[in-house]
Amino acid sequence: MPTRRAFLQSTLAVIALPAVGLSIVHSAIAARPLRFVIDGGCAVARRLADCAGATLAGDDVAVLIELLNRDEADAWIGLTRDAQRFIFETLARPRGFELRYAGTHDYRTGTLQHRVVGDLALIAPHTQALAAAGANWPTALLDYAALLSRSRTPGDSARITTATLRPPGSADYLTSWCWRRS
Amino acid sequence: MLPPNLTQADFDRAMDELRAVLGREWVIAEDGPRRASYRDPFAPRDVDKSEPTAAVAPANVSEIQQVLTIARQYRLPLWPISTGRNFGYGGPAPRHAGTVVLDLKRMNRIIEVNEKHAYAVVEPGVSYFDLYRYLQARKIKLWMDPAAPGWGGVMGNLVDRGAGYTPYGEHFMAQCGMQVVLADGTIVETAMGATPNAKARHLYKYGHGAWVDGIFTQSNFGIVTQIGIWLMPEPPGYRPYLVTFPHEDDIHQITEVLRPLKLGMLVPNAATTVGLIWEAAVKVSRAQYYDGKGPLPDSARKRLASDLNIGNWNFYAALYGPEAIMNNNWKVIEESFRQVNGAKFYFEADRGGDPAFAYRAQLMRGIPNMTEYSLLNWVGAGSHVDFSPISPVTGDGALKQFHIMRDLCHRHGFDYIGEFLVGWRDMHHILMLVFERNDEERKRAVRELFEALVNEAAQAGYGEYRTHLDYMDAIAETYHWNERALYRSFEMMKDALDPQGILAPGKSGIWAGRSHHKRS
Ligand SMILES: Cc1cc2nc3c(=O)[nH]c(=O)nc-3n(C[C@H](O)[C@H](O)[C@H](O)COP(=O)(O)OP(=O)(O)OC[C@H]3O[C@@H](n4cnc5c(N)ncnc54)[C@H](O)[C@@H]3O)c2cc1C
Repeated sequence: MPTRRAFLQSTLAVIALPAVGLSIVHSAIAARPLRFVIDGGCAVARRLADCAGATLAGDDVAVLIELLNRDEADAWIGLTRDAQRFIFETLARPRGFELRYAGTHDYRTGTLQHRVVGDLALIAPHTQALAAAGANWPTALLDYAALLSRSRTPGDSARITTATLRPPGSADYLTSWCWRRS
Repeated sequence: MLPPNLTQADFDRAMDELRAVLGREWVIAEDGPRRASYRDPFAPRDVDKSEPTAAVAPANVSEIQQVLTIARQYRLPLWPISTGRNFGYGGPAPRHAGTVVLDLKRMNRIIEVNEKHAYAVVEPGVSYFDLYRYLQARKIKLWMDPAAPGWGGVMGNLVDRGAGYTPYGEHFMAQCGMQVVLADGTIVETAMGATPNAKARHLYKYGHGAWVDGIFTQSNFGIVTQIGIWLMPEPPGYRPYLVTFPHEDDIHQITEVLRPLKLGMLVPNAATTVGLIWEAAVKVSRAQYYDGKGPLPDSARKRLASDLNIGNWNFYAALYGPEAIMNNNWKVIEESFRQVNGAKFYFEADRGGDPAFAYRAQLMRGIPNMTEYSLLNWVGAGSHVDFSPISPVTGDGALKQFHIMRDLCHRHGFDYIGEFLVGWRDMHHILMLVFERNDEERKRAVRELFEALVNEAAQAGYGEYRTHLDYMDAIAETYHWNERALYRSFEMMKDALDPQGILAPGKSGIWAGRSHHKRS
């Protein structure tokens, strides 16, 4: 799996949406543009943006709505708390987006449990990458971004638990997801 | 599921006719993400019970009239929504499966903003974000009043009699002038708007003769297509503040202190007294404080209050006006609340970096945001339904309601997550029942709790101001004085205005004569 991180670092910009704790990271990964939505209120999620070398470019959920309306981005990948996922999903669905990948990342039992749902080709390597990255697991999302966005309709799931404690300033239950224009 | 009394063949024909009027894109009858977006994802019961059979989205009044003609012909039930964000009360979903959602989001024009007389006229699809951006872009010195979720709509929220947090927080009170399409396709302008070339359409509410605007709110008597809304002139000064109180039973004294301040308009806005967990849940989650079942124990509540520097009750309001007036008012307000032992006072500068203070400060000056959704993160993957009884602004009333609701929540294994929103002469007591979305056991517990809340509140003499789809009939039954005289009069109006019962069957427990049998 080739890493995309170096490429992303040179192309990203962020729109922070503190009103909902979301940040949007633009990227032009692969042939068709992708965007990332990151929970600005959560340290773990911010790590993804830091790792991508993202910069700030806005501060309103209305910006998200506007982008969804006029954007050519084909897929949106997120790492957010659940309510922020819900906000995105509610905006994306009527605009014809379909869920391609979903994950939950749960620190609440003192370990870190990843549960991912996607297509078969994606699930095993992605779960392994999440586990191998340990505390740096958000970077595995970045590395797998192109693959997540190409995932077919989710049908398979996998679960993995790692001995990783919740870092300070992080939410204890996060969701990752990918919505793609149908 | 098909609408009642309609065959598949008739339904398909109706959809084809609708496509001919609206275009294929705006008749959403196929299974898929677009139709799924009209479900209620927060439903505590099976979502299929309110699954819409299709959605249609007209672009103007003439298309609405044509949709109505087809609906009357086929007896197709239509559920009008404006922005469709009524989450906690049913989202965009209809009361009954088999209903077609009439989505008015494409009618999203801001028709007028009159700076001189401080009002706006909007169509259904205008969200708070839209209106705010419009005012900002044109540097118009008027404030609007958003509900907590900024993606909601000026009209949708108002016709469901929602509330915000500025001095114009009682939304229906700020409404002036309405355009409504009746089930037979007639367009009605209410009040002054009924005079041709009306000069005061959005300035005087009542016109001549019976004043009918109210019957088009929380009801199913017409489709509202335009609304006038008064906006607040930007005041010369604004100072939001927070007062925290240490004990649960302080709600008695807080409310007694507050009543004269509200009546005397020293607290001019729709102020809120927010419970501990509501205040905390914007910032932290339950699992960070307690991993057991049942309500948060006292020890965890104490830690929460001390870590976040908040009270068991947290009172938010704001000063508006010239400095001298704000300073004078503050003296009275501070002196009044100091009577409550342990009261602590904060202004914006004292709460830097506090997201709860920040979003409340925005709402009380009419800036829309979405921060309150973070409350759902309290339980990880949360949903919620709201239980919202009205309380008098008295210490006894507030304490009694609080005790009833807290104790019932605890008995059913839930945290009490509530706030009192004080309007003019009443308080909306909003109880957010937050539950794990994917946990069937918790959903069942919520349903049991909700039933108990409705019954106990009714026995104690408290009615709800608004409710979730699933409980519309149950709440309607509590308004039963004089053998349901009020609801019988609604039914007479319904039968007169919409004899086929095609508009929003079951909204607020109102059914047309022919569909009475459909009450759950
Ligand atoms: C976290 C959270 C916080 C909330 N805070 C608040 C709050 O502070 N204040 C508040 O009031 N609510 C609040 N709510 C409830 C709700 O989200 C808002 O009231 C929201 O504004 C309602 O959605 P909407 O404006 O899109 O209205 P819509 O969903 O468009 O309409 C609501 C209902 O009104 C009727 N209706 C709508 N348009 C028409 C029309 N044109 N003609 C006839 N009937 C129509 C329909 O029955 C419809 O279902 C909150 C919800 C959540 C989840």
